[in-house]
Amino acid sequence: MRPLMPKPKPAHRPSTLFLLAALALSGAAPAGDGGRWALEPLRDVSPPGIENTAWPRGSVDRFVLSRLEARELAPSPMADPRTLVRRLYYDLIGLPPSPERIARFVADPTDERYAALVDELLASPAHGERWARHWLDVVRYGESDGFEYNSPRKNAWHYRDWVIRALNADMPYDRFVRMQLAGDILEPGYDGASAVGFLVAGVHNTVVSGNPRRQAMARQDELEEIVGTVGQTFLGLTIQCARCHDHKFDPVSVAEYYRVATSLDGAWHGERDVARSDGAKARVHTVIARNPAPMRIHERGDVTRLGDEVRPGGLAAIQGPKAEFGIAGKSTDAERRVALARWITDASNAPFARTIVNRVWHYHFGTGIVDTPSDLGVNGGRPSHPELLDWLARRLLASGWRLKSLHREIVLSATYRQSSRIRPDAHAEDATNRLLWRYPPRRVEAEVLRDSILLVCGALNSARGGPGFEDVEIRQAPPTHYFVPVDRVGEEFDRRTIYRFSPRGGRPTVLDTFDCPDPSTTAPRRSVTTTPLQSLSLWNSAFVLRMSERFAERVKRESSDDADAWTRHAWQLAIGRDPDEEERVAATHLVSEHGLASLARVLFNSGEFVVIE
Amino acid sequence: MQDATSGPDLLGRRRLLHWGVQGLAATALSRLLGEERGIPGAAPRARRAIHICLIGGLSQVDSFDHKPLLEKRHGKPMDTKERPEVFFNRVGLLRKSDWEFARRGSSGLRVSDLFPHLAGIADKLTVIRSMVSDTGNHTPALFLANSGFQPNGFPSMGSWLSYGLGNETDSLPSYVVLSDPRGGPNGGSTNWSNAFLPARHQGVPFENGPNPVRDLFPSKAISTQTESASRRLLETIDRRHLDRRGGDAILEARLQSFELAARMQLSVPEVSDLSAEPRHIAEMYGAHEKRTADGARRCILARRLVESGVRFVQIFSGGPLGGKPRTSWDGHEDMRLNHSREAGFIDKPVAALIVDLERRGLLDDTLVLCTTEFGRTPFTQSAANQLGTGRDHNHAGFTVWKAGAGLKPGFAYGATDEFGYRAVENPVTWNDFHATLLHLFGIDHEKLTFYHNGLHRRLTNVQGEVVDGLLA
Repeated sequence: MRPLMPKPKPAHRPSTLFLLAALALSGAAPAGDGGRWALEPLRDVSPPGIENTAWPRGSVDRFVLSRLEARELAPSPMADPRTLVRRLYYDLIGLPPSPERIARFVADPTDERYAALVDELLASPAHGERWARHWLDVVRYGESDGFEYNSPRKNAWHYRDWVIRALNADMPYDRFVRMQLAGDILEPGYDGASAVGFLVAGVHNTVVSGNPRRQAMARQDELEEIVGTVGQTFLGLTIQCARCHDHKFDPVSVAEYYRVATSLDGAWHGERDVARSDGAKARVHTVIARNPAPMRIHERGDVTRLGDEVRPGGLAAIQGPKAEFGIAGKSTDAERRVALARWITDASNAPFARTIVNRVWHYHFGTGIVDTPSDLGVNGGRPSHPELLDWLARRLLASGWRLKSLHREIVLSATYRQSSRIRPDAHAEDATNRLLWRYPPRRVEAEVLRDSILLVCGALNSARGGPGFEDVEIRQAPPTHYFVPVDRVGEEFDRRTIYRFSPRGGRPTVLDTFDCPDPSTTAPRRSVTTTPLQSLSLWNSAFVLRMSERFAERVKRESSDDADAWTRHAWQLAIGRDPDEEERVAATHLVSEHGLASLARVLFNSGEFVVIE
Repeated sequence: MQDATSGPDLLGRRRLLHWGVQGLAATALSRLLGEERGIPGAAPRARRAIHICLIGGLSQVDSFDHKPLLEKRHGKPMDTKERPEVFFNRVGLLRKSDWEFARRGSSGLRVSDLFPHLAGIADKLTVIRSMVSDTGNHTPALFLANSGFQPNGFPSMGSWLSYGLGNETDSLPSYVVLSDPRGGPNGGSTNWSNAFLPARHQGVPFENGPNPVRDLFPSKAISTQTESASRRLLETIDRRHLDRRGGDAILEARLQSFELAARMQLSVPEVSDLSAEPRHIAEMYGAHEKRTADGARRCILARRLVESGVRFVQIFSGGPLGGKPRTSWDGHEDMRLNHSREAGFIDKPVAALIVDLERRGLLDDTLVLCTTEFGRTPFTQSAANQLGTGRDHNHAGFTVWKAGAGLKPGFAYGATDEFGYRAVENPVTWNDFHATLLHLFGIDHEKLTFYHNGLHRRLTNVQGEVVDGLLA
């Protein structure tokens, strides 16, 4: 156990709005390398030699197999075709395949067909909707201000749509990030203004007393929130920990914190009208740029104890790009943010590449190569396959930062295609499956669950983009806004969950109990829990009961008029297979005695519907 | 320390399946209990808590912090050197308390007539008269009191206790929220959010009525036969699937959670049904008087919940901010009207709760907490030369109280200056308050951590000291 840092109790308490973080650390000691491995340049690694040369389908597998063999573990056989199609669909587009689609692949489960299916799904607009949800978790995208008033942000969705479009278009990742940091400068117009919605997606305190000290503190708190999100999202580094003192563990000094902070100090929350490409005006929640005053170090984070002036810059510990931006303390907001964006996205900025590769891996396998996706620093996890991480990072660079190439590399691997069945021998050796001797089965996320129910009922409204649907009632008890979940009925509410208006606080139970995070804070890795309240919400909620009726109508419409045929079709639609004899008999009995909707409710609650193998 | 974000893993699953003491919670418990620190007095004193959370700001100078100087200087300016930093920036003249103070019980603790029933049990109260907060803004102040942080996004103390200690029952949630019938507090569900802790640690609101918990029962009528036939089929196909898979921890956990859900469907209505309470008990709480009926209902329910093994019950006193008349403890305009009404709702029920807990032998290991966002100014919210009737927010010094497990009863800790404006003796921060709370539960606040996003988070951030002076 690390000794705790001394606890000063200053007469004037520094701002503790968000943290003072590193003092809080009390976890396990880092590995011997000091945990700074992530800051070093990408290593030029080649896939290792292995014994079982028949198993790998590509280089990814050689890295994985090499570690398995070192522990005398065998990988698992390939999953059956039906499981593979379902896995790919849920993973790449967040929706289940139709029975026909499964049947087509099962009839001809060749590598070529599999690769074609991967390409088809990556090209689907639903892919962007699925993966944008992951990204929005990381960047704490929420549609209300938080704090006292928690006012709704009705014009924030432009950012959400921009992320979906960018991912669908396979925008190179470095440009994707530059746009979010400085799109309003680099590509002025609707896209640029929407993209920098990233910087202002977090909470914003709108109730600040007129006292100048309080105002300065509120601004410094807001900058900390932005600097923290930038550092963790793009570099896997907790830069914000150095606001009050040098980072206790990662190599970030107070001066460097303020260099990054001043680089972003021109970005303020606001809204403005922007012309879209068709000439129409759109009101967008975006950065309102101001040219900042020169920044001084705040001793212990105290706005009344100002030290030396700093110039915009990055972190010296990152070895590739020059941390010195070469611009003056008086430079414009545009100069600052563009310089920071270029520094972060520089091809030689190793943690930048490692962080995104690890994030993508995390979403494909449920756990990253580093299991703390927004922290590759000293207090984060150690990589399970460090060479693989670097190898994939180099591949990403070589592909021109194309995330779809990275997805392809991963999902075409034999590692990804393994069966998820438990093997007691391997489990005894590696219970958490860090070595990936099987594909980890995963409970679907709240949004996937809701979207899947809508889809299999034939109720999914596939309208894309635009203002979110509101399944909350916005109550105002001046001056505060309350978001009260309401069960809304109607086609406009049956859109994919990513198009839900997502204020801070107030989620319907099916989302809430299935660990859909409140956007008040970033969620680089969601909790996955199983609780009685979760079971109750999926069993009893008005949404599920209503959709059960819809499902029954669809099944009756599409199959011949007897309980047996209904049962078979229901099974196919919901979980993509025929019921076995025992299931068929029991289900047919339920249908004839209690109606088809009862069966739908059961299927939506079944393990096979909720847990992907 | 690992976090508990992944599902319980296979093989070890049987021992993991107890909802609420699952995964880390179970591990955290043995490692964090005070005895490990090897110092006397760190053994757990409390096993459960009931938190009366006042929305708005309770005026300390009108309730528990008697300032004779205000009587002498009534209608005069507060002639301190620094200008007070108040929210609306209107510093009026000093105002004496609108209620009479007296020494109460054998302890002689001073409590005003604002709370006649609490005054009657003053010997059981432990008052902190030197609380300080970092902010005088409602919502950040409320979040700070509940979670240790001003912004949204941090787990509340109830969630931390659930995470640290788990639950003593698996058929009720570990953390239950009883909101004011006038509406939720400012910040709504953020106040009882699990934030980055696993979802089972979030506060579960119990509503008044036949469906106390959201989705406890189907939202439309489904016959008992259909319901049980459906459940049987679900279990059949889930068990077959599990067999085909040769075991799977997530699938097993889901089967188990349906069983627990079914138990919850029995326990929740049972615990919420107050009709079995004897008449003299109900009357002691004020259940038959219009003004106290709701407070009585929630206080009795809170007692029943902790008796049934719930770890933390939070009762909100005060609905949304604003309103005409205001629906919370926020007497900007007229203290007498505002505080009389609010105190009238809860004084009798809360006092009865403490007495009832004590009679049942529960007060020895149950904590009752009463907090407020901040206090109120000793001067009125009015022009500088005017004596108004309302008071503004004051986070420089205010009063909260506790009762029960491990505390010095009939005792007041700390002091404000002679005006009752600023804490000057033994100031207590929310970090200190939370550290003390965890200490009473036998938890070292520096060791109860959860890794989130690069940091090992604590309820007490990076500060906080146990206030030894409060401990028995």
